[in-house]
Amino acid sequence: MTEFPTDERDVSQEVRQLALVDRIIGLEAEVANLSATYGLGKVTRDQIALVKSSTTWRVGRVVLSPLIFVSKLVNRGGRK
Amino acid sequence: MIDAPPFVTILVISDGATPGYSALVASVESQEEGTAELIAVAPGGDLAARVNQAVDASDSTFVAIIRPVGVLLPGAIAAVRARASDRPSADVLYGNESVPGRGGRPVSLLKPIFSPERLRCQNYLGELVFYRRSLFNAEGGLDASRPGAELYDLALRATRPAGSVDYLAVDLFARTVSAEALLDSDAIESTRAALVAHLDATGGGEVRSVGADGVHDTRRLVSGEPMVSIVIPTRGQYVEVDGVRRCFVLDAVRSIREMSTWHNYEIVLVIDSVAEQQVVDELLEIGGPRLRFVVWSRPFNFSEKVNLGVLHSDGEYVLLLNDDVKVITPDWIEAMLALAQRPGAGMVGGMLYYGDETIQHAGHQYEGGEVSHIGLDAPRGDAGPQDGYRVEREVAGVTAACALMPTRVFREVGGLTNLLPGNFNDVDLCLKTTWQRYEIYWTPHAELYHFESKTRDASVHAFEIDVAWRRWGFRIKESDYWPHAFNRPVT
Repeated sequence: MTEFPTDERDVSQEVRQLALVDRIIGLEAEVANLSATYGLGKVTRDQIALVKSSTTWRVGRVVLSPLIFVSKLVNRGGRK
Repeated sequence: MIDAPPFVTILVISDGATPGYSALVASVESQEEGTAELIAVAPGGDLAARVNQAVDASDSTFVAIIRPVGVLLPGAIAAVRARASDRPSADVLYGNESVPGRGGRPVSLLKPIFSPERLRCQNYLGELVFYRRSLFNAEGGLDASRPGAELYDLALRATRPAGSVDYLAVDLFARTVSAEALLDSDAIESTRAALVAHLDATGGGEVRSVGADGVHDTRRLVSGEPMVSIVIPTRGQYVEVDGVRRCFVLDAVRSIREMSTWHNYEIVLVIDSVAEQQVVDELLEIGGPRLRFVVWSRPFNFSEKVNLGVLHSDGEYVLLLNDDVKVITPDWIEAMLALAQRPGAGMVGGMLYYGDETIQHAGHQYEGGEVSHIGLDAPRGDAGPQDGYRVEREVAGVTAACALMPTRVFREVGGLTNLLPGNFNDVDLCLKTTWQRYEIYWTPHAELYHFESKTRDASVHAFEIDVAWRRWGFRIKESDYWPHAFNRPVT
C-alpha cells in the first residue's frame, strides 16, 4: 500500500460549488447557442410545424372542422 | 451649394517621383467620388510637422498616412465609410492587405481583431490605417521625435485612448512591394523610444530588443511576488517508452525545481492511489517542502482531478500543468504571470514542443466548427504566419497542459467541467473564461516540452462532442485572433 503525506482538507462543498457554477455558465451558453443557431423566429416556425404535424392537432382539426365550416359561413354572411 | 468634406484625407509620403506613387494616386482617384482627398508629403526633414500641418488644413473625418508601397483596392474607402457609419465609436479602422504571392498572384494577409498586447510586439495593423481626425489631432499628430517610426508610434498612441479600434475582414490594400524594408538604426532607436513610452503608459514593461524586421521583444513585468500553485494530475507510475522505463512526473517536477527562476510556488500533485511508492519517495526527495499530495482514488476524470488540486492549493494564481512536460525557459513562470496580471486577464499559455522539436501548441484556434492547436507540427523556430509564433498575443484559448490563471477566475468560471472527463475540457474552460469577458494570452517566452505522443489515442466520445458543442457550437467558428488555416484538430 502506497503511503502519502496527504493534504486532508475537506473541499467537498467547494467541489459542489464549482460544479454548480459550471452548470450555470453551461446553461447560459446552451441558451445562447440555441438562440444563435436557430433564432427566435425560426424556433417559432419549427415549433408550429411540429405541432401541426402531431396526431393531437390532426384529431382536433377533424373534431372542430364542422364548427370551423359554420364559422366561415357566418363570417362570410356578416361581411355582405 | 457647399461641397461636403471628403471622408478621408490620404497623405502619401512621397515626393511624387517615388516608384509606385502614380499607381497609388490612380487607385485613390478610382474610389467613390468625393470620398477622398490626396496630399503628397515629401519624406525626410520635418516630415511630422508637414503632415500635421496638412491634417490641420483638412476638414475630412478621417486621415490615413501611407507610403507608396501599394494601392487601395476598389471599394476600400466605401467599406471603411460604411463601417464608420455603423459604428460611430470607431476611431481607428484597419483591414486586410494582399501581398504578391507565388507567381505574383495576390495572397490575402489576414489580420487579427484589435490585439493591444500583440501591437507592442509588432505593428500588425499594416500600411493602411484610418484614424479619426479629431483623435489624430488630440494625440498631437505625428511625433517629430520618432524619425523612421512615426507611423508605429502613432498606432501605439492613438489606439490607447481610441473609443474603438475596428477591424474589417476585407482586403483594403494591395502591396506591390513584397518585402518590408528593414529598419535602419534611427528607426530602431525611435521604435525603442516609442515602445518604452507605450509600456510606461499602459501598466509598465521592458523592451528587451527591437528587431530590424519589425518584431520586438517587449515584456510585461511581474508585480509583487504572488504565490503560484502548480497543479499536476498524475498516475505516479513508471511506464515503458521506446524500451526505456521512465516516470514523466519525476522529470516534470525535477525540471521545475532545477530550471525555474520564480521562487514563490508550490506543487500540488493530484496523484492516483495506485501510484508506486518509489515514485512518491522520489517526488518527496526532489520536490521537498514545496510538494503537496492530494490522493485520487476515483475513476479517471482529468477535470475533477485538476479541480481537486486547485481547491487544495493556496496560490493567488494556479498553473495547470500536465505531468509529461519539461521546462525549457527558466523564467517561464514570470513570462506567463506578467500577462496574467494584466487587467482583465483570465488565462495565459505558453509554447509547447514535442520531443522531436516540432511545435505542439502556440495557442488554440476555434474555427469552422473545429478546434485546433496553432502551429501544430511546424518546426521549432518557425516564425509562423505574420511572425505569429514569435510574439505575445491575444488568443481564443490555450491548452490546459500548461495554463496559468488567477485562482479567483478559475473559481469564477466553475473550473474544468466534470462533464468532460477527457477531451475538450480545456476548450470549454477557455470559452467559459472569455464568456465571462476575460482575455486569454499566449507567450512564446514560456517554452516547455510536452511529451504527449503525436500518435496518442485521440478517441473522442460522442457525449464529449455533444456537451462541448451544445454549449459552444456557435462560438467554435471564431477566427478573430488567428485567421489562418490550421491542421491537426485538438482532442
